Amino acid sequence: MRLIFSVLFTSFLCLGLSAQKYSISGYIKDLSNGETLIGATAYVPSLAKGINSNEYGFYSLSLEPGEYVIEFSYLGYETITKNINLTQDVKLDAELGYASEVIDEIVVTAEAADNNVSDIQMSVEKLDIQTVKKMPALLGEVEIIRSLQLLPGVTSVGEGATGFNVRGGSIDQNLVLLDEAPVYNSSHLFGFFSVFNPDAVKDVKLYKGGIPARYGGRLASILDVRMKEGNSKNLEVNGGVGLIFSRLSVEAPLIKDKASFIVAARRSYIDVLAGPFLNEDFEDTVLNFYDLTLKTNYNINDKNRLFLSGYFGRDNFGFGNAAGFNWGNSTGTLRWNHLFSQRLFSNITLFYSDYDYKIAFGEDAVNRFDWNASIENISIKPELTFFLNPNNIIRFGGQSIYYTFKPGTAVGVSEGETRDISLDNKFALENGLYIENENNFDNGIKLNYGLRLSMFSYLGEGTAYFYEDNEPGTRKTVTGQETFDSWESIQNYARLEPRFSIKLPLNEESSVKASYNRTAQYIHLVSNTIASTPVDVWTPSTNNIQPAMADQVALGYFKNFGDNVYELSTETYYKKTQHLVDYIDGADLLLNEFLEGSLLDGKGRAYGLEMQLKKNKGKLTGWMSYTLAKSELFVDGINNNEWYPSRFDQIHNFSLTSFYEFNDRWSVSANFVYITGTPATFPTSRYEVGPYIVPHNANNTRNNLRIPAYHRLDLSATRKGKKSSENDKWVGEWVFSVYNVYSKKNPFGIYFRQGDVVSPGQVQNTEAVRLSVIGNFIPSISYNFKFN
Amino acid sequence: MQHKFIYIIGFLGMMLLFSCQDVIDLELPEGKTQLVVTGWLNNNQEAQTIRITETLSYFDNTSTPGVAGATVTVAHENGSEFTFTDQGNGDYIYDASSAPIAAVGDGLTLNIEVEGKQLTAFSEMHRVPVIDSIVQEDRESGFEKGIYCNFFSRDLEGVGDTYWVKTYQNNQYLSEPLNLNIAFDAGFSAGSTVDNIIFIPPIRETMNPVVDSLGQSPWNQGDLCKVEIHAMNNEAFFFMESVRDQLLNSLNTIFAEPITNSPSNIVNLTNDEDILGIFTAGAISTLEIIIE
Repeated sequence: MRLIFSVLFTSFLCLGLSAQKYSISGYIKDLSNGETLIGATAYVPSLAKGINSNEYGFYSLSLEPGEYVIEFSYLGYETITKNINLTQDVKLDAELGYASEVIDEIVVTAEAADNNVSDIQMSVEKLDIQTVKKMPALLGEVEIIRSLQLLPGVTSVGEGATGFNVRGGSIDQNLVLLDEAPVYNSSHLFGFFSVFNPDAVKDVKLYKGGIPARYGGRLASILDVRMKEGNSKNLEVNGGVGLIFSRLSVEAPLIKDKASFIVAARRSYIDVLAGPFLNEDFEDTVLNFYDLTLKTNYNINDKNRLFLSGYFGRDNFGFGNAAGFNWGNSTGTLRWNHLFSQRLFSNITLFYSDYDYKIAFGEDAVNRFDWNASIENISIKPELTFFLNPNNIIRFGGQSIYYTFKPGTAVGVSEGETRDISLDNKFALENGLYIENENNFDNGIKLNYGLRLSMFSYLGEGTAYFYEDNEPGTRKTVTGQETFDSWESIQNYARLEPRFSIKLPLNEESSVKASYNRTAQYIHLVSNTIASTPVDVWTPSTNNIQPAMADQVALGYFKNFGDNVYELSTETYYKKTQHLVDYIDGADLLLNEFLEGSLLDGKGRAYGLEMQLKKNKGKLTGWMSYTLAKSELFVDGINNNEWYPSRFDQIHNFSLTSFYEFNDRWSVSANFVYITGTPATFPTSRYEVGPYIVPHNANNTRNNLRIPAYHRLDLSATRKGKKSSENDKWVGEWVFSVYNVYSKKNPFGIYFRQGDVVSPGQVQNTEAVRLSVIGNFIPSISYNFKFN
Repeated sequence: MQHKFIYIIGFLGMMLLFSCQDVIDLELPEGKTQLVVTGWLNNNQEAQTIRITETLSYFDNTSTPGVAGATVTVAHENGSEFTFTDQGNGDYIYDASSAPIAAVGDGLTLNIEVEGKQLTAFSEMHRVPVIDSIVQEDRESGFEKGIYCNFFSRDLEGVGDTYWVKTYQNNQYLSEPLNLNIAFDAGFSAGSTVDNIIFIPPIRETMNPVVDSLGQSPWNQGDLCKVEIHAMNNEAFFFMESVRDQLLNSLNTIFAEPITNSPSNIVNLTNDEDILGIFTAGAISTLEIIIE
């Protein structure tokens, strides 16, 4: 805290000392719907200085009095310029539109942004939602997380696997934020679809490295998804009918240019379609998922703006009374933007987030088993951005998160006898304080340096267990326990996380960037299955579980050529991680009071080279990515105490994504991916225990072999509807797609099993089975519409 | 764990149209040959067997070879010693038909001399609860049609009793991996602190034969249905839990756990070569009915 105050003080001191300056500030918005634009540029050509709008579309430039021309630009939009005679602080909003929609102002030919080279950020992937919508998708459903996997450094262990892996990290090392609230399980239907409704998403940004100090809490990446505010100019309805879901979103102004809302909903209808084919025995079968995304905002005045957003989604499986299983996330975010001055922007976020699942099975009231688990948190996060001058933007703030972990509330009823085998809830408080400065020099060098102080308290009410150090890799025995009262701290941790990035321009068209970041992670997903399952539980760092730490350095070369039509990005990185959670063989992870006795402490290292070549303009656009990477783990007691490849160690990862526009109505796109097979543990030998054949790995190795490589081609074609007249408010489009065009049976995994018993007493056969989650080509057709 | 199957069923249902499983040819690395010792002793007046075998390559579909020529004895804590005679095929047998080898609560130490190695293991003779009844039920709903049975037994008081529940249909042991039915107290696993209750429903249900198609009856009229509860030590429970997880991995599809070696309790006193297998002793309770 003292640090922040002293920086603040120095900043204000600087203010006083510098020559008299005035500021130009305001919001940069989309002309057609009033949505604020994130990362748009306000640029003063005469000074060769500029600034990007922040997450709320706000920008502020402090300049000496004088006459200026200011250019506002954003990729895909027309650049507009405004003339300003600066004699006092000026509020200047800019609305950017597509060519035909720009009415007043001076029109400048759109320039492809040279952000790739000029911006300081490296290791960041931005996905434009319009691009995502054009990619071929499984069953025609536009998918954000699956689209991310076509970018360098982002992978998944296979179709149907929840989440994604960034630079060799596990899925729980990604902080997935939806309007700043963390989403603990980003998937519907295991990993086939993500929780993000593309119609409600405005901006998607993935930080794989060079993570600014304002973000914290996870080791590998931050996926920052921002929702649309809702059309503030007129009513807009978007929707789509596909084979799996239907979706509909409505957005409209509540008070023109002052308040607007968006409501977006999706529901799958497999069960509805299947209904008529199920006989009465199965009529109680439930099989669906849905989500609802809402947001509204209110412009109180020029200085204050409120946003309220929420998400609620659920996956349901049920077989009458016999068994039921459902899971889902709920999040709610309230944000208040306040301008203390034209140069001091603030935002306070309050959020609530919950992930929970429920499992129930039983025959009747006297024989049942009900089980649920959840992670719940509330948080407050004040943030300030001080636009000191065009060369220094200082951000500082903090965050407090209060967690409630419910690792398992389970009640079993056996013949009327009730037994509660629930585990105690766990509580924790995570606090963070940060300060960062984006420092631009006149010679084009940019620096971003910052420091984050994170603190974590594992709190009562609860019982702390103490374990004896056994032989590495074996179950530890409890040696003692201590109970703690409510809010009493059981264990405290504090970590300093320095962050640093630099950009050195080589010339107009190329630059070199480097970054270092340290990240700490205090909560861990407990999972030892190949793909994470919805029943995996989160656990805090405790007296037995250390916070995980990562240090990453990255170095990159960035070049644009052909008038910014082509972008080349090349990066190498090296990442070292400590205190990763691993498990002893045969660990029981669920409903186990003494889980911590089965955990092992591991370390990891990951390094790689990522390359991407992108074409931004023309009839043919798209990109090609290639990643050469390694991800390894070391755990005392596993793999004969030697380094071994992690589950996400995919050495080669190549992808090609391309779009071709024939004319105003027809466009096509294609994806191709090739990924080295993931490592797996295979047996070497067998032995018999009674009638069972036990697979055995005589070398005691982990991930000793690989499943075959994965490759796949997808194609899609889009036919846009024709407007019958200029006033036609309805625009529809048909999307035809084929996933896995050449029907590759890509293995998800290879399993070993006994064959069928042919005759009693006969020796069992053993066989290897390849599981292909998608073993065929999948054609689909969907219809999307927009009413505006 | 049983509850895992719920979402796996859901998953399979969803992906039935697209997913496929096929048996493939695969080259596996060779591992060294290792010794395997299995001994499941009980307190019945019957022959007691210890078996010594060697591992084979995983795809070698022949019976694992027995190891003859070993000296196998079991020492009772009261000082008496039982010599198990070499049958020449890997089996070593002690005839306990005149008197049980031990009473519940007695400690037994296994000593083996084989191929120049001295091996040892320990187990108490574990206690077992009685089976009160086997209840037959005709089901007519959903996935289940036909005759199903549940056995009823109450776990003994005190945490840490471990059991293997074996079912026989017309004296044929139900050897499908899905029928491999073990319990920690009367629940699924250690650490879940259920004690002294009636075996929980999923464990009771696992006694029913796996049917080939939905709606088929697991039991038929006139079938002899026999349930045995075999008490065993905790090491044997963890061993069998691991064995079961390996055997069922292919059903867990994308939620499979990595292959792990099942933890042995056989100690090699001579060198650091790992010996596989398990040694345990426990009482057995039995009940049988004729399906009506």
